[in-house]
Amino acid sequence: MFAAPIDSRYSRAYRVLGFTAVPAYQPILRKLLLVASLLPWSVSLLAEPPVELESEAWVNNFAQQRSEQLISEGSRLLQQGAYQAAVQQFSEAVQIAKINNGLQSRSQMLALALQIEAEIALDNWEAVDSQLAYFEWLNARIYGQNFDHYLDGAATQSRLLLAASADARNPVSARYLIAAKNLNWRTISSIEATLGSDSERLTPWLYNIVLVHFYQSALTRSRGLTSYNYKTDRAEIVAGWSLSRNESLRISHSIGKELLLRIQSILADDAEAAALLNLHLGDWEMLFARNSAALDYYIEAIDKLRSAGVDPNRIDAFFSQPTILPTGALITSLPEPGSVASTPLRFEAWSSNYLAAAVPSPLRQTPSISDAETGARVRFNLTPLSSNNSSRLILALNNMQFVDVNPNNERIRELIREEVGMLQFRPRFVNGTLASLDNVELEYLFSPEWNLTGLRESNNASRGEDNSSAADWENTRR
Amino acid sequence: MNQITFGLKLVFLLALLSACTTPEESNQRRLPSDAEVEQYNASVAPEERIVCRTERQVTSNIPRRVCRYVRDVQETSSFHREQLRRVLR
Repeated sequence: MFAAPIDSRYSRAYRVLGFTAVPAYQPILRKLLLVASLLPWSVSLLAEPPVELESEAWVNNFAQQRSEQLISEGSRLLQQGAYQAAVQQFSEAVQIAKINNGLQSRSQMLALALQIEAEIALDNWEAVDSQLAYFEWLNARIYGQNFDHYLDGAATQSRLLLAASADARNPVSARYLIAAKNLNWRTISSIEATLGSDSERLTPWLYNIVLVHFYQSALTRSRGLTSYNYKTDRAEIVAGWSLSRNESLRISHSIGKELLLRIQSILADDAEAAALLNLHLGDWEMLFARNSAALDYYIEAIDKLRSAGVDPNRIDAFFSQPTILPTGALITSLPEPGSVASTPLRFEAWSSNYLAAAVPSPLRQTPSISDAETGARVRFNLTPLSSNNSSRLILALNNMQFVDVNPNNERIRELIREEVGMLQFRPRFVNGTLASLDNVELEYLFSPEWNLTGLRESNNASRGEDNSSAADWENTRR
Repeated sequence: MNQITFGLKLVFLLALLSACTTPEESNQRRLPSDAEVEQYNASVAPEERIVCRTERQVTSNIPRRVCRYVRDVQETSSFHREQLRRVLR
């Protein structure tokens, strides 16, 4: 195809040079002539300005800023309730963290935790399961690199598992509660292996398990379900073993007590902390309606505090503060005299799964679950009953008055009476003897799902509508 | 006479008390507590988990703590179910 023009070019060159016939050295000359004829074209080609390609917005996945932007944007979407969009942002942030810092890097854990949080809000349990498994796998890799980071990761995972267990629409919510408990146990085993079995760093983890047993007992009491220990922390159901409700409660009580005693032995060198562990033991007995044992522990706690040199007035002031049981965190020192607890007492109900349980401390930081609005401010007295009273309660809650109710209707008042009546309070002691607590003011906030169903139901009832509460809930949540 | 009666009673009481302690029990290993069982179960596969509970044996009215593998409990349970089915056929 190129022969003809090249030949014609040669012929033209020969004519220019004055030849009439093709010489013998034709091949070499041909090549020289070809180069000479192509040279101007090549030069012109090189002289032309470069052709600009269509410009495209390339994403630099190696930029740290990009990951931070995605997390920031995802968090904003999460707060706004745009969970699906938030998942996409966090997922991309995870991938970028992997590219930037390696497949097993810790930097992806923040975005991953947020992504799991968004998936929980979407009730996408399959995704939650697989991502939690990946989170644990990742954290196990970190164990060998940095133990503190590993503990941070375990705390985050525990928080996520508790959040998943609190979702009333989760069909296997108890499985997540048990998974959280097992995770705490495994963390304890790792602390024992790394720092020793008497390390003080064990204490918050041990107390976490005490709290999980309180939630578990609430579940057992309300539903009569048992045997979570052996059946439901995995996806598959294992048949063949069950515990009666009473036996399950007995085991929960026994484990909680054993762990509190262990914490006490770890903190034995600190007289005040050891005395306050008696207080926790009293609380624990109160929660399981073992009032006689509870009173003994409380009195022993007061004696030990006095022996430790704590001012009796300070002890009385501490017991004069109304406290809902169980406390969200371990108390190892008495608060300073100036730092009085906030008034009124505030209780944020966690979930309808766990009656009379407050939102756990780590979950209070999560914006998506602490936006409870429906509730009331009430005032009441806590009066001790005489020791020979046959009632199982030590304290009687009476003379309840509503200071403020939102929304103000009888349905909400009724619910508040019912739920406040289920709360357990630490008794007040003055000079080592039981005393009444008058005019206790409590701000009670319903759990998030109550905000949706309870409010709707009451409004519908007042309008005379006949809607299914389940359907309402679905519509409201979505 | 009273002293002899008192002595006999004391010997009888001691014999009764010593009868409650068998060599088997004195050499018995301490079984894990509920918390220890739970900690162990958290670290092993479901089929390796154990359950401990207090039971009254057929031959004695004294409650004893017994620990078993969950898989053994399941196998025994399914075996008994199968036997019952066979009898009822």
